[in-house]
Amino acid sequence: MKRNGYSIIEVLVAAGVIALAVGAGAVLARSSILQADSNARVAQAANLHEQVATLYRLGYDLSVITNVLPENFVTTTPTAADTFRLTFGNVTNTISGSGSTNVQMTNSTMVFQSGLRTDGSFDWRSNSAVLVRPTIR
Amino acid sequence: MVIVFALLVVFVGTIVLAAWVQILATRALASESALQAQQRRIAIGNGRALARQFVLEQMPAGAFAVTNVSATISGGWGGFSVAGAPSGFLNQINLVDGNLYNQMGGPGFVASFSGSLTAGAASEPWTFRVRSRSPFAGGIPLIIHNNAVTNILTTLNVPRLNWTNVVGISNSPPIPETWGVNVTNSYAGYFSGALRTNIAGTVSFTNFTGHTNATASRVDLVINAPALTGTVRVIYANAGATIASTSAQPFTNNSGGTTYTNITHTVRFIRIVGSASATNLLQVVFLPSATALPPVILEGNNTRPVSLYALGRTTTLTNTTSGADWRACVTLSNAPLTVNTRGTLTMNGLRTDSSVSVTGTLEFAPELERGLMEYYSEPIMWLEDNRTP
Repeated sequence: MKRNGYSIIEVLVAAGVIALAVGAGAVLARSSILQADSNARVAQAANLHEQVATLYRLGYDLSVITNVLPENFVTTTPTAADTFRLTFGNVTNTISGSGSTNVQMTNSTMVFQSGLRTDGSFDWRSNSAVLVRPTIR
Repeated sequence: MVIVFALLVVFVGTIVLAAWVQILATRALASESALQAQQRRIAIGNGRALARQFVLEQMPAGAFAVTNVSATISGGWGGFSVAGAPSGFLNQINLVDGNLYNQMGGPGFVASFSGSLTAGAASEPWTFRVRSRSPFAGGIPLIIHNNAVTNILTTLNVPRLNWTNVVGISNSPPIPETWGVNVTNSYAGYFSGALRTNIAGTVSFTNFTGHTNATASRVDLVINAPALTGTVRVIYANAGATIASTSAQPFTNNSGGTTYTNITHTVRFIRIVGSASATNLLQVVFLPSATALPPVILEGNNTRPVSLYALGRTTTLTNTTSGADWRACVTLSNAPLTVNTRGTLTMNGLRTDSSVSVTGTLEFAPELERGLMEYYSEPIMWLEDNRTP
């Protein structure tokens, strides 16, 4: 007598395929979440760095800039989320072109937490920019 | 049937997974694009900063001479170039060019020129406008920059700007520090600084001092406006050595005809003879000295535009003709002024940061020739810019 249905082998294979698909989806979902988190941190740092540039051009010193902005600035590599390390390089005073003039130029570097690695550790990233401000402000 | 259904599920699942991966990649690229955009905006800002510095620094007052200026920051972090700029920019009055709602309000002096800003390999066409403005240029003949003015007039009814609580002028707002003047710390807490004017014309004489050839013991120094042709600047100082020119002397003694290049004796009066026909600007500059300036007398009536500028000299001013109409704008920087009018004296403007005391009737009629404002106003300017549409 023939019975309708699937054999245990068939069921196991189907379950394995479904498990693989669900597992891949889970991995992708985790990556997506991490990526979204990283994107948010990078965007925040980019905007923050741009605000730093604006304040610098207005004539603020580094210490004042880090006090004015609401973010948490630290002097060492950030160890917590939403903390930033901002450093300014030496100030160059002369730019040569057609003639030379006195401007203030510095290289600013911002180190920030860009997200979590898949192993659970933090990932760091730095963003550098050359900032110029006129002495006639 | 079952296998077909299973293949369909696999097919749809593959499409979904592929789309998901693509979305992930796009989101990753988005943050990188955001960083690139941020760097580009910073580079453009750097270029603007460079342009501001170059243009304003290399532009002497009244003689704008910037040509083919450019500068670039290495690493693609910005740059600018200006192909050329007009000269005599302060002569230009443009009612419609640029931002009418600037810090001075209304039209002012504008010089527009084209250039570009660079960010990396990209270059954006950019328009720069150098602007300047003085309250004088706004038709305001009386500008008082602090509260040291006393008894100027109780019935004064002219457009004016003044610090609060000036005796005789009440309920007036303070002059913002952003008016076209330099700010220093001479008067703590509010506006001060040396008022300045732009330089006009050629130097006809310098240092009317160290004189040796006078015949009278006390002479009048006469600045004869009708005899001075062209746009002329006369500089009077009380300490110096020589007169630069030995011809076409405007300085005469009090009897009229004789002219002097060197006078050793005490100057009793400085008499400025009014002109009824000359049209070029006469700029008279009194430079600082420890001694008070000899009394300045405005003779007759005058239709020639005259700029009187005193820096650090106590000054007295009077007129010889009752009801005199004297076309002059006066700028006094750290130069206390006493005015004793004969009848009514009408001038075009007075700008001071020092004390003013008036006996008699002093009235003002705004100077209407805007081209003259270059020489009455501060050599202060600012830069406006925008991407060329």
